[in-house]
This record gives sequence, structure tokens and C-alpha cells, in this order.
Amino acid sequence: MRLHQHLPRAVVATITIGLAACNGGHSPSAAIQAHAANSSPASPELAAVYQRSCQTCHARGTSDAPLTGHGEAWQPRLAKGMETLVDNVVSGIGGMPPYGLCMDCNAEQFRQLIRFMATPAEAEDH
Amino acid sequence: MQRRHFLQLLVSTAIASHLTGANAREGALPAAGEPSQSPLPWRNWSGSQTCLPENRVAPANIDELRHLLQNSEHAGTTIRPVGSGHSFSALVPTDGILVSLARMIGVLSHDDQQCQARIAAGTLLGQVGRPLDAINQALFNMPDIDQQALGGLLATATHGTGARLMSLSGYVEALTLMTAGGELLECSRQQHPEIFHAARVGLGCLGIVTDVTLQNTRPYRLRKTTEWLPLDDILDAADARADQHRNYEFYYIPFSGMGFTSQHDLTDEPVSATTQLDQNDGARDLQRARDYLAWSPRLRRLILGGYIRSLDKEVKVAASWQNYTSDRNVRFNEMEYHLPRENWQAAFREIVSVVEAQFPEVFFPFEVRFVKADDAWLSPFYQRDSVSIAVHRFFEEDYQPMFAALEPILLRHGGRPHWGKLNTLKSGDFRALYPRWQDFLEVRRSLDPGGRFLNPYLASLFETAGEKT
Repeated sequence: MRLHQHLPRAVVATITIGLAACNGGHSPSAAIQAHAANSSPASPELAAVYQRSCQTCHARGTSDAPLTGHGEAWQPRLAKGMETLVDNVVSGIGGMPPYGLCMDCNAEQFRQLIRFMATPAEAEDH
Repeated sequence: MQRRHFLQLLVSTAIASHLTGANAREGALPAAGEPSQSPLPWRNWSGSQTCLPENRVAPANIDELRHLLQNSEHAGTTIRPVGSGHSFSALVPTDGILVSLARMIGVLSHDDQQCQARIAAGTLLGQVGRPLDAINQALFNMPDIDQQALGGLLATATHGTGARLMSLSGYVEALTLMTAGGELLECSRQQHPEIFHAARVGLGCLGIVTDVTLQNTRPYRLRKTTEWLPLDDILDAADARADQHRNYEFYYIPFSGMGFTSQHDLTDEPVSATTQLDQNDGARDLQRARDYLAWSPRLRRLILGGYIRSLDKEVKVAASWQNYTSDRNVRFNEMEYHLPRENWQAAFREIVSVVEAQFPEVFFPFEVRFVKADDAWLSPFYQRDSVSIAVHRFFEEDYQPMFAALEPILLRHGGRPHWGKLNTLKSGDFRALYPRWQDFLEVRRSLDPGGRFLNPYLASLFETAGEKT
């Protein structure tokens, strides 16, 4: 007897749903896009790193990188834990190169940059 | 219905009809290990190369770079320049010091009459197009991603496609090199010509290239057309189309019998774009088709082929620097060889045959590009019009069995490997492939007799007995 005769249709449905789910997620609002395009860390040192390493992708929204201030996009990433996010920066993830292009950053700088980018725009605007 | 959903439906239908779970691939292959926290390791983009450097530095200017090189505390320490980490080969890893030029960026000066621009080597390719446009210049050509640092991509002869267009290293008119001792050398065909010919593709082992002067052209607009075709049709027409279009390349989707061609032509048409298939989504869909259909190559070919035949032609008209590249978010490891033009068809057909007979798990497309000859000593295109054949494996999967099966084919047809991509060649192999290999070695030895810029991989290529203490 072939294995597929035992497989419930639910498996197929799950696979199909899984495939479709890849297209989910909300696009950032115009306000968030404007926030991403115009914001920078308050600290001049951190701002310099942000502008030369992060801004190209996290402020323009043309890659898979979550936009700065797009809380909804950052929330599932933050749920992984800060150290996991730092590991992802160090190793690179998706289209992001290793160290997020900041080759001389230390782990604490990465944490500060992640906190800045993950802070929802709404919170800053209120 | 969106095209992707159509593929998903086809795959699901096939599963419902024929699914044999035992034949589907069972889960993902092991991921790369977790990085430690302190000190931080370095990895390349794909994770195929890693190291734990003693230090990572990003000098803000020439003086800081010179200070680093002249600092006696670092006298015995290996120094390797690092860009964006997009090389798959072992050019970067060191337990010494990684030097990034990420703070030395931008267009430094330009010559309007000559249409040349001097650009800092830390500048990312993606940061070049707009400022060049502002001074009425544009690069002659670009590769298909723009995340690389200029210094790194030139050091490895990174290229785009175009039978009448060279790799980017071919357009270097001058460069500034900081030597192991901190001396700045201005190099061109007139000044230090031997160093210039070596350093245009220098693998970061002659010194640190701090800026380059590129021969550019006036800004231009490109019409990019992407079209899905049967592989046999693509192969029959490829050489003629490569000569006919400014830029021409194609990809073959393994186990589908189908591929897509991409061509760029100069145009004055207004900027426009039809719906573009996201290549990252496409790669993920191919992965899923592999996961569920690898057990039946015939069904996989039927479904993939049917899906691909439903795809429309895509057209995008845009400024050149906005019409070459795309985001690459699905990571992979890559091997690419550059073959004499007369040999590529036979090699490519053999590769397709071997992969489809022996490696059903493969799903990444194969890429074929055309590149004009240049005269940089270690350019894989040295004095040879070439066709580049690239094969890929998903970054979490073992690339070695397939690459080991295909590399002999590429070598047998006269291929030279891309310096930044995976290969198993040794010093003697390269010596046989490069007529100016010995000249390069002598320039390298004269500039850095202590082997300060050699990591273990580069030392294995360039060191002779007793050269390095």
C-alpha cells in the first residue's frame, strides 16, 4: 500500500497554507516609511554607524530588511531574543551581509542599533 | 490568480495525487553553528568561510590606515582587507586583523573630459550609481548584486554580462595602493605599471587598495527584457543573442527543461516596468518543488515546465545603475568558472546531464554570462573572451558533492575559476592557467616579502619555500 493513501488531506492543506502564508504581512504605512527615511540615532557615534551601515536597507524598504520604526515587522524578530538578533547580524541573514556591513562594531553597538531600529515609530511620534 | 500561486497549486495537486512522504526530503540539512559572543567571529555571506580575528578595524582615513600598518604592535600579525563578505572562497579568513574600508567611501574626484572618476575602495557598488549620475557618468557594466565593496569586487575580477564588456577590473585606469610598510603608491599604465597590472585583480595580497579611478561612460538607460524559453531554444540562440544585445545572460532551471534569458539594450524609452517576478520568491518556490517532487523527476519536469510556460515576458526600462541588480535574500554557495567562448556549450550540456542524472536535490538555477577579455594579470578573462558558468547550492546544504562532480568538467573545457567563488585549485593549477602568474608572484614578493597580507589560503597559492618567516 502506498504511503500517500495514509496521508490525511490535512497534510496537503497544511502544506498549501504554509506556502500561501509566505505572502502574508502588512506593508508599513506612509508614516512609518517617512519615519524610516528621516530618523537616525541620537548619539552621533551611533548615528554615523547607522548611516553608513544600516540606513541603505533599513530606511528605504526595497529589500526584505525590516524598516526602522516598523514595530510590526520587528516584533517577531525581537521575540527571538536580542542575542539571537546580534548573532544574525554577525553572521548575516537573508540579504544582509556579515556584521550588517559594520565590520568594526562590537556586540553592544549592534544591540543599540537593533533597539533603535525596532522602536516603533508610533511610540516616538507620541 | 498570481503565477506563484499557480505553481503552489500545481505542487499541492501533485502531492495530493502522488505524495509519498518517504520520498520527500526529510527536513532541512544542518544549519551553520551558532556564533560565539566574544570575541565576535567573522563569516562570509553564505557561511562557508569563518574565522575568529584578533581584531576588526575600520580606519576613517588614509592616516589611520597607515598608522595601523606601521604600528609595531601588529608587525607579526596577518592583515586581511574585507569588504561585504560576498566571496565564497577563503580570501578573507584570518586570526589576525580584518581591515574594512567601510568608512572610506564616495566619489573623491572626477575628470569630466575623460569621463573618469576616482572612487574610494570602501564604497559599495550600490552607492556608486547615483553620485556618478550626478557628475554625468555611469559604470559601463554591473554584476547582478550591488552589495559588494568596490575594493573587494575589483580584487576578485567580479563581472556582469556582455560579450563586448569587460569585468569591472578591466575599467580600472589607476589605483592607489598602500603597501605593507604604509607607503602610498599611485599606479597606472604609466606609473608602476607592473604593480598596476598585478593589483587590478590583486586578491588583497599586494597591499590595500584605497581608491580606484574608473573609466566610465555617459549615463544611459537600459531596456531589460526577461523571457522564459525551453533550454534547447536558449542554447541554440545564445551565442548570437550574446553578440546582438548589449548585455545577455540566461539561467537554466534544473529539472524543468526551461530557463529564462535576460537581455539589456540601450533605449530612450520612458522609465517603466511590467510586473516583475521576485527572484527570491522564485528560488523558494523551486526549493519547495524540489522538496515535494524530487522523488519523481518526470513529474517535477512536468509541473515546473508547465508553470514556467505560464510566465509572461518581463520588461523594465530604467537608468543603467537601477536596472542591473536585484536583491539576493536567499543565500547560497557558488562555484563559477570562466571558459573560452568556443567551449561553453559542450561544458554546459554536460553539466546539465550530470546534475539531472545524479543530483535530484539541486534546485538553484545555473547561470551563464558572457565577458570580454581584459589584460589584468590575474583576471580570469586575461586575453580571453569568456563565458561564465555558475552553479549554486542552497547555503544550508552540502555543496561539495555536486561541485566535485562538476569542477572536472569545467576544467576539462579550459575554465578558470572566479577568484571569489569556490574551487579546489592549488598553486600549480593556477600557474598553468595564468601566463603572468610568475610575474604576479614577483610583484607580490617585492611589495610584501614578509607575507603580511597572506592568510593560509593565499600563502598556499603564493608562497615559495622560505619566503615567509
